[in-house]
Amino acid sequence: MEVLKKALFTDLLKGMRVTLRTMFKPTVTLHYPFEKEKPRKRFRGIHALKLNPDGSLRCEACFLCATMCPSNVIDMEMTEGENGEKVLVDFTVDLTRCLFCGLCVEACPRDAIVMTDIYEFSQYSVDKLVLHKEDLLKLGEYYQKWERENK
Amino acid sequence: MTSNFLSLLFVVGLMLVAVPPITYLERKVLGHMQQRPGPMVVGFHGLLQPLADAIKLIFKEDIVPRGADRLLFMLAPSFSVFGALLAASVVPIGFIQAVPLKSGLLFVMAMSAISIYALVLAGYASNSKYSFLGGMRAAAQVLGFELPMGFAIMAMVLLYGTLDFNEMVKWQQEHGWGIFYQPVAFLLFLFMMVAEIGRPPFDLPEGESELVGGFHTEYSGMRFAAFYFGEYINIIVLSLIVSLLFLGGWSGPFAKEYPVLGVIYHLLKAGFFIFLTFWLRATFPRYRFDQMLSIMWKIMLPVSIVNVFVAALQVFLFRL
Repeated sequence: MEVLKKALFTDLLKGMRVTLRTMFKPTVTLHYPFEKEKPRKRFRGIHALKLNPDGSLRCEACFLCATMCPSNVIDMEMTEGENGEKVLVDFTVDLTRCLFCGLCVEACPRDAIVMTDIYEFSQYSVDKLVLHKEDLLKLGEYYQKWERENK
Repeated sequence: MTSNFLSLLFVVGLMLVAVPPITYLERKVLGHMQQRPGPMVVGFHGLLQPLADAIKLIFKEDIVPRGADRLLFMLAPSFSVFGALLAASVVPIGFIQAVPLKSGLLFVMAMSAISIYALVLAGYASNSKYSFLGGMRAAAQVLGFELPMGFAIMAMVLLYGTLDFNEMVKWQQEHGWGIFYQPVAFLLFLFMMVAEIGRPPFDLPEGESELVGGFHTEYSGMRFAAFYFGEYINIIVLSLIVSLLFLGGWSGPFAKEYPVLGVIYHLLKAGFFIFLTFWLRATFPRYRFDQMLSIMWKIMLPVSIVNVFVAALQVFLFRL
């Protein structure tokens, strides 16, 4: 029986039947650059810095996100302001090393750093992948618009 | 049988023109078998994809690696194409035959073996260890499958008593298709055909995961394309031959009255085998090298030798 099974290639024919059948099934692919998947609400994409309603920065440069970050992605520069408060000069996020774990978002006490749903951020040069304060604030505008519409 | 310059033009032209659509169809079939649409972007449903490929291959830089055997490196791809085209020249398609040859089958076997030499030479001349390994695997594969293939053909030759394709078809028109007399030889020939054109699951000379790219690692541009041209022409030629040997070639209803119908039957039968190679490629993973060799030497060779005896007995007993 075993020999007969092998001689008649039953197992191979079974596999070929499967592939032939799938040939007539509808395709399941997304034509990516033309069709895009909408990310889920809790998807962790590129970072953003939120602003207060009055337009001032939410981030107080407490360094909690930078301390929390497992791969040292976040770096901040700050000076002392007139009344002795911390003033954020620059806030950099190095996307080349980021693993999008979301710990910075968890750590932030003021809900200043958030993660948007943007997943397409490839660049032709690596230094463009290091986001600075202005980039993050621009993304923050996008995020707050998205938040109003979706949450 | 019309045998003149026009037939030669037809056969060679068919071989050259048919390759781009076949590559397109292969990608479509493979795609659908994996539940994706295949090429879709260039032109309507990706129809212009072969053209885009051709443009890309022509304008790609042609590199000869340092330390390579320049002459052999440049000659190897042309062996692949010319071997396949020479084999095509003696194969009749319906009533069209470029070169009528009494020992056509023998000539085809010799020529399609030459296109394997192209792989061996490419691997040897590239001055790359990966390519060399690919070439060596090609050499071992030739040794492994040419013998069972020869024996499978020998059984058919015993049955038909001729090496001439036209005589074979005439025999089959009288007695019925060869596949009914020799199903084992048919299966053997099918396996060996896939191995001869070096396609999955027997595409051991190439191997992206083990050998970077295999025998063609160092090739680029048109020279790279030439290997594939040869491979696809070989697919067409061998598919035509399988249908000649086992499925009655151009015989079919009304084929005698209208020879054009015969051409269509023959091409349809060959088309099925071309589709079969795509199908096999989509279904089976590549064989491991030792597995392939043991299949060739331990199973196929004894079976094919026994099959020759069976064929001889058939001829002796039934006076075919």
